[in-house]
Amino acid sequence: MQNSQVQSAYFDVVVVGGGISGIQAALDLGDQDHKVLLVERSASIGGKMISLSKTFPTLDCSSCITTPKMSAAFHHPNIQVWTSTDVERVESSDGVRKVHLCRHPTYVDNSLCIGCRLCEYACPVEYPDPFEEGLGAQRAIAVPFTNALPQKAVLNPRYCIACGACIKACPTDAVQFDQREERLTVEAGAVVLTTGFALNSLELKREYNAARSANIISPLQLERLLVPHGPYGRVLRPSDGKVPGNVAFVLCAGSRDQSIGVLYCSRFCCMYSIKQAMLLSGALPTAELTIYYMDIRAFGKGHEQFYQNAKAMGIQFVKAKVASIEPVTGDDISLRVELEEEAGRVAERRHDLVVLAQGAIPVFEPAKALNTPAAEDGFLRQPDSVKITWTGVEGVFAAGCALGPKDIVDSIVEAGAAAMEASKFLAMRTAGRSPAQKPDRLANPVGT
Amino acid sequence: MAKLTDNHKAALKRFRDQRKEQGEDPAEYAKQFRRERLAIEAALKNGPATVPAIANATGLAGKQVLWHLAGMRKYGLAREVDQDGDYPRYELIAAGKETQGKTDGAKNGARC
Repeated sequence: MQNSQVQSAYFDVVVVGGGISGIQAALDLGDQDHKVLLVERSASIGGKMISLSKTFPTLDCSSCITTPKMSAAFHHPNIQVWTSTDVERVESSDGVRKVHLCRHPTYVDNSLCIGCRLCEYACPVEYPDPFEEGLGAQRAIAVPFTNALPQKAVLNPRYCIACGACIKACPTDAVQFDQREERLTVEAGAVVLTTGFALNSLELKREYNAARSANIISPLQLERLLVPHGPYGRVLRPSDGKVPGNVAFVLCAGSRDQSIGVLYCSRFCCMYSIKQAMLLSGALPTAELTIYYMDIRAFGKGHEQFYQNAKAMGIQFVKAKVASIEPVTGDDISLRVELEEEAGRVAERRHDLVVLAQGAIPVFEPAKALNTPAAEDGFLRQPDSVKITWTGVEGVFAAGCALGPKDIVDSIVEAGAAAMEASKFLAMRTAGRSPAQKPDRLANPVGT
Repeated sequence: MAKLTDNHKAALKRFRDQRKEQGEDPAEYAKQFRRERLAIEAALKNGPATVPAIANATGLAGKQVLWHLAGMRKYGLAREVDQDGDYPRYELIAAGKETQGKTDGAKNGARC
């Protein structure tokens, strides 16, 4: 789209994915004076972490941790950030990595946009906001969210009626309906894949009937309901705006289940469900909160204590496999459960809001994008057990949920490890040779 | 407020034409959105109301009403006033009285 922004076609390292792992890897590499390109598919860096309410088991504010890291990476003199950019293919041959990119039009010239949001206020169309997991509304041209980086407006061509109101409102004439998709290739010494994960569909398990009720929600939707500036400003159930009085969490609703083809454990669902129940008990002190679980996996530092605290707070833990979920009258939800601690007695339980712990699934396709087979679970392979961040492809490393589901703490640690491996790889490659001329400064100009 | 130049108009036309070629037309969506928003605003003219009450008055699904109210809160067009049983009540913010984007969440001093 804006060719003038491409300051260098060679980077020491290209980091693919601007979530917390990618940001951490880019910072660790940039601080070692490597020139880094951080590529992000969506319109802002920050990944899933920036949309979460709090982290477990410390209950720290998630955006209070993520925002400074986003800002540090975005303004780092050695890191250039390209958002709205897809990585289509990574090649590794003859000692060099080629990263094939597709930059999507945002219909806004970032070198002119000042992030004033006047276009957003003038826009007459609203659509379900992806940042709010569809619960809130976003205008067809808008800054993606309050603490998005870059703070630039992005136009969604699926909903824009091309009325021109944004052009009239813009004080810098930044709205450009002529932008086109642009494909380009950059070369890199090493690549770090931090492509994260997706959640499988709420509707995947047919017995759970998520398609039939707005009150069967995803954990990320509940995160948005729990943040102070969420779509409703408080926790309400989506079907009718009622303050929920009886909430159920169904664990293993999208993983550890042969019937939906996800055999592995998604690893963080137990802990975030406990965290969400704790936060809900603060937001709704009189609500009944029940967690239906197969077994609680609280294996990390401080996790078991966190679980015990939740029990002490009065959150009900019911060891039961939920067989089916049915919407019933009054927008309520009925759960059919087999109570393991009561000799398998089958019971019907009624709730007014149900959260399904979806499974974490890969987004990166190693076979297509890296010409290497995926691991059995679909995530990237880790062929060397003492170098777990190496993908088996020369100069290509990975970290975080691109390698398999893991929590934020583990992702950050792994991102540091991948950065170290990439740095070591670059150092060994240039050992004995004079360092190549590096571009002096790559910090994001106003235009990025 | 700037005016549309001939260049802007030509770019907008090319954008529309290109989208038409791809078989996309958001005009119907936008009309539906406008109809629903106006119906909700009309229902709130008589004073604060809960989501089920607005849904009753407009014939829209409660889920859709709440979604619109989320948008109206975000852009400073509506706010929560009080609660009727388990349901919060919402009211319109008169144009010009509140600045854009200043919602009740911000006013209540919500923090992380």
